Amino acid sequence: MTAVVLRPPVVRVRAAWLHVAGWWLFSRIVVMSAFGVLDALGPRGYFGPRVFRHPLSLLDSWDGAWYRRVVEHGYLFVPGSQSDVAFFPGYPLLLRATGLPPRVAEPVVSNLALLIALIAFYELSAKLFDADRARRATVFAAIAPAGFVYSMGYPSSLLFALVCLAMLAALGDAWLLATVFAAAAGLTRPDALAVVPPLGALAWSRRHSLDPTRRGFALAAVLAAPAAIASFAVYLRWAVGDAHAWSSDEATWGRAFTLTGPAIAMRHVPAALLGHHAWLTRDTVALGLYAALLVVAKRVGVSWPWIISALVVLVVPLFSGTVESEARFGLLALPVYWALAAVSKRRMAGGTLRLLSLGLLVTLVVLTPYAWP
Amino acid sequence: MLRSILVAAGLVSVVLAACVAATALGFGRAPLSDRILVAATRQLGDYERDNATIYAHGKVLHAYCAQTRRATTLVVDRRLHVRERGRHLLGRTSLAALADFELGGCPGALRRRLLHDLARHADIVATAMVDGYELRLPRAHPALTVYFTRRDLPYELRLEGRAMRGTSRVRFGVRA
Repeated sequence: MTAVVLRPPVVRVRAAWLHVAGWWLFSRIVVMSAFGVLDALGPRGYFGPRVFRHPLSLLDSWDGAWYRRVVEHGYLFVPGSQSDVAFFPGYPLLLRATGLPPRVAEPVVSNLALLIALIAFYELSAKLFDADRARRATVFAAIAPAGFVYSMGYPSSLLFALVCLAMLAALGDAWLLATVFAAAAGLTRPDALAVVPPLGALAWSRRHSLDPTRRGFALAAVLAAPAAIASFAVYLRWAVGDAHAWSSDEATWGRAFTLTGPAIAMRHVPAALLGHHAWLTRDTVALGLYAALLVVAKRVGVSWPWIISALVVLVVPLFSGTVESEARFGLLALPVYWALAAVSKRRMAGGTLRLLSLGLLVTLVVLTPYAWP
Repeated sequence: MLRSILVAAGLVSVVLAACVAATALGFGRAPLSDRILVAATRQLGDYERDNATIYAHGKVLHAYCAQTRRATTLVVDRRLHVRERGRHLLGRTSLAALADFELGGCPGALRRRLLHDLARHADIVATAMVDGYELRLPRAHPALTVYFTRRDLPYELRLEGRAMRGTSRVRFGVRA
């Protein structure tokens, strides 16, 4: 009989983690300073004076306000109106568990989750490639232009951490632990589907070395994220009487999932590039950059399952008929960072790319009142 | 092979159940009052006119409300009383006229008001009755009480403000 145990990987603080923590601290100082300047000097954009009344309000803007509402009041679905059922429960559950006021809990949880995410991403990259490339990739993950949301009331950093931890656990053959992390990721955002291709490929490649019970664990780890995503529909059926509340509500946010979604999304691209809609311009340019970097990633040896994972993150939202928020969704396209690490081997190229990324990071913070991330 | 599939199926079921349980324990269900309001707003969206008998200002008034996409018209005792366009009342805007408009129970205007209270998570007190529900919004201005049938349609409205008070019996008709 096989022993059923959760095997947490041995955790030892390594010197490389201090390097990662240093970049985490530096990037967050840059982001928080930019938000501080925005709070003091503007521009105000679409934000009313209420947003500037509290120092943490900017970090709690856009989706953050909705997550706060979920923490404070739970879920309520109002058909035909924008409701909080569009927001998955993993992040607000964690916010509630802290016992802090949501406005404080959001930046605390998001920033700390980013630290864990970056360390997990470093370890994952080091296992897949080498320590040098892992270090460079982690720096780019820390200063990613859309990464200002890692300090806001968004679940992006938590999802990033959970996906990396699930993969790390699986690489260490701790499949039960991988199941737990993948399920938590699925409960956090539907983008957690990105973990399925690499987990599936890993489970398949190890199928002969695992006994039948562990093979079952591995299969469960692959299916854990979709199961957790489905669990939200089951909860909504019980709580608000409509299992389809999430997808119905997405329509009120301008996201209606159809097979022709990508074509509809692309129809808006020319207007976006002409600058009619600031957020569409940002997201269209980001989508183009991510696509180009995925090509580079494939050329520098990133395996297909990871490329497919990135495509899941970038292409699935297009089926909702818009390129909106692609810059933020692409934060979970991990091959992008590995591609950047590969092309920034030379000191000059690396420095230039980092400066460019930091400049864009600050610019996108300043644009926050005009365009939701 | 079969053992692997059984183990995976069992574990995935545990994941599904645990996630539902965690979310349910964390957030529970929306309160009864909110659920009634949501159901009522859904129902009201299907109607575009109603009749009301208004008891206000010491009189009994017979009102008829009709709405189009652009405007809502309240006719009281066969005379045009209040017209609303783009959320602005035209013509008479005295407190008495406003009270009549609220008590007239025009489906769109009532739905908007209930949605507004839902959105700001106003204090709503729900009481189950034999034939329906009573919902009180004590902090609204003016305080409003709505009585709903078991099929989530309002049938009586009560306003309790300083200058705007009265009750009305409403009947909705003609689905959109």
